[in-house]
Amino acid sequence: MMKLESKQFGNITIEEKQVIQFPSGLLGFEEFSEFALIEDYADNPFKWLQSTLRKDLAFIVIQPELFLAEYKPSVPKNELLDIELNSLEDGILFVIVTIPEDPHNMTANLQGPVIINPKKSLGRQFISRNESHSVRAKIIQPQAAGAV
Amino acid sequence: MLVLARRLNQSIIIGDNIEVVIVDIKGDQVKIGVKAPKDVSVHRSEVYQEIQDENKKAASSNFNPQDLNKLGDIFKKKKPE
Repeated sequence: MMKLESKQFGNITIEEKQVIQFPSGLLGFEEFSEFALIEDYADNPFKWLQSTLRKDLAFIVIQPELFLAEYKPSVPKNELLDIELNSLEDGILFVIVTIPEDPHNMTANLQGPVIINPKKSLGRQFISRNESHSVRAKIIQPQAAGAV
Repeated sequence: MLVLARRLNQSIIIGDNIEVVIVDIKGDQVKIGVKAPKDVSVHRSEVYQEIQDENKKAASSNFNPQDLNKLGDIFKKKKPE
């Protein structure tokens, strides 16, 4: 167990297995190479990648299969080896969520997925070679939002 | 920045193993072929820049966490068995 200062939840205690190394950081945030994967409560689809070095640096992530039936980022095998993965299926796939003022309009970055190797606690943001993958894909379709 | 003039089908070599070829020229558009080892990633710089910008936007998202949790319920209902 270790203590962590988080942006959204203040001082929290996390388990060491929640700490993920990002040797190349995230694009634009290359100097931050360690994040903790945390959630507000169990089974919350939104998780947080909280920097262990800077309290106010945190990203919301979601597993894309929760809102997209077909999405498979196109990532070369040799890049996956960076996080010691032999195939995409052995990793946990997340996309980073951007939340505007009205959270119903939240978007996911499908062009820059984050993949974690849970066995090695390694992660990296990749650039999907499929350029039809949007940087800002809408997560909630109007009919789903209307149902709430 | 080094500037080199090249014609169609001519190329430049970067380091020992990266070759950049001018494949086609039409009006103001140039098609460029890149031969590089597999471990060298090649992207249009806009893609790289867009992801960087989006990461910055995502990191500065401001919202009420309770609203987010409420929205989380949508996915539980939708989640396939």
